[in-house]
Amino acid sequence: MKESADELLHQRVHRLKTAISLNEPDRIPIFFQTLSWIPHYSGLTVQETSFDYGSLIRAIEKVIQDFEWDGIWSPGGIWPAPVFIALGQTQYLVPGESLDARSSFQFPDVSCMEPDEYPEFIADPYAFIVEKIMPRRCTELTKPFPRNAISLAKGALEFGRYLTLMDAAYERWRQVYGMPVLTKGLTGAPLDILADFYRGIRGLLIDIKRRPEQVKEACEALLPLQIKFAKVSYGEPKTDFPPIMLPIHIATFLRPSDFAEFFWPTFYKLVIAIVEMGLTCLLMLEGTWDPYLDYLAQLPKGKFLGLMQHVDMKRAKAVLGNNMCIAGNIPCSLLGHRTQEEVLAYAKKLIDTCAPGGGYIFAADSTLLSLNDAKPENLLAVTKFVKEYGGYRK
Amino acid sequence: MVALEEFTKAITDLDEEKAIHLVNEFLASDPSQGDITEAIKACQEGMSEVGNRYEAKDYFLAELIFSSEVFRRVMELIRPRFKRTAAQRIGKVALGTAKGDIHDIGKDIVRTMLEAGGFEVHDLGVDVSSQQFVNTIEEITPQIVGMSGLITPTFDSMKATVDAIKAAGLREDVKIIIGGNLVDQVVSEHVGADGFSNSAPEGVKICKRWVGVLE
Repeated sequence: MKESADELLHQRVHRLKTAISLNEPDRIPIFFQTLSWIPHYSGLTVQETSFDYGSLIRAIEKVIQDFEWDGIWSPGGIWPAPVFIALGQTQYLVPGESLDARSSFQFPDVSCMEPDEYPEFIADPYAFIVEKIMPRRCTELTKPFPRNAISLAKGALEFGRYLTLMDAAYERWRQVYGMPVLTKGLTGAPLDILADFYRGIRGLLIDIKRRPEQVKEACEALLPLQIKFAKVSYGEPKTDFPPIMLPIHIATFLRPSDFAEFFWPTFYKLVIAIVEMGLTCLLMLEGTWDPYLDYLAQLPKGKFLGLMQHVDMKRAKAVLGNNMCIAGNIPCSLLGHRTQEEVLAYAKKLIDTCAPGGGYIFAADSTLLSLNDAKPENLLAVTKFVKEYGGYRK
Repeated sequence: MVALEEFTKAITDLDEEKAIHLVNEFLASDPSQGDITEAIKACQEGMSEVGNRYEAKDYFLAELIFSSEVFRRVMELIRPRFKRTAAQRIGKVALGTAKGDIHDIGKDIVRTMLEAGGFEVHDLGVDVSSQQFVNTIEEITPQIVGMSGLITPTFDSMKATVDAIKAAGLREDVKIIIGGNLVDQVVSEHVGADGFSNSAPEGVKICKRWVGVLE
């Protein structure tokens, strides 16, 4: 007899939680980081789904039903374009505007903070962000009152509408399909935020060479805001599932000594605060994390899901197996361009390496943006394989 | 007269202050065109050594970016005094981030390292269409076409560009290299490139081999 949505939800959440807490579930959990792949799969453009949230929700429900993974990737990366437009936002490029309608959102490396503004930033980061960064980033906010206030209200109301709709959809997916969304809320390490949103990646990396002390002070000054961002974006209740999402971009640009000096200290304090709130955390470990695995091994045990890209998975399992759940690594290039046989061969090898002892989840090496990032038949085949081959014998 | 090894060392060690100081001291000594050529070579050797340290996993991307910035500042000071001839370039590269992709950090690192390696680089920017690549090949006849892409949808644009180059009857005239964090052998075959790299210094070496400069 087919299981009820309630039973499926309970099984999936339990399976994921068990893996994250470094134990052996009934079988290896599986998910894929489907993002703009989802509109493409339904023959929609990213533009359409970033304006018509209902079409996004329906496109996600098709993927939920067709693939039956253990969780669905948060669609947060398909931003609500009307919010950006209301604010006159210039940093994110919006599909259908300066980008092709089918493109995912993209972020050129721009700087909206000058190197000589570090002292002002350090003195009061919140004031600097609100009074300087936001108007530089959002053209509507530079207009005189009441125009800027009206634009801010429009954007905020639209964002609230979007969040309400999506929250309702997430709850519907739990109840109707027994499908949990894999993450809730968001934050970023201070060095990453400085790079991604204020100084730019190039700007910040050059700052590390030219004004290292100011970079460190800026990170410390920003830390309380990043903790608060985590707290507010997750909401209540604070619980160990779903984990909070933590993208990381800047870390793998850094030589290990600079990683230790500039990235790690405030990152570590941030994630400790997250754990102390009662949360678990999904770390997006894009790039090659081999040089930094020993740092990750210092994180509190059983509270993190490390989503890997190019790391040596055998070494990752050896170094992190006793403290962090690992996932990812199967290449989208295989999933998208190669045969089922090749995909399953890679999957088997990955499972044999990573699964023993638990603390392992099956996922891709990167976010699925293009339809060519995974052939649907390969996803179906590997999902079936993981469900059959990935059982833990008791 | 500034010792050439000092130029090389300043660049290799990423000592920005020293490098700028040396260049200014050097230019103030009223150098000949021959002296300037040697000084540029010394700086290029510094960049080459930076590449070696990157391959040895001593330097990381941050050091490639910073060295590019130091090299750019040095060349900005030297260039107005230098009467460059075409004979000094080892080859021409048409470089760009493929259509639909606006990321340029990697491409810019490659541009600087190719220039430091002796190539003449035509940087077409980002979001470059197949037609723009084809037009550039016809106009400047580069030996090499380099395409960069950070995100996976870009691979389709890269393939479309290779197909357009074929359709224009130009495929045999150029070598094509692609790069980006997610580029691998599978992607390279799908796109129809002649080579690929995830490392700017390695990519420069591949290009040098193609023009017969490196073993």
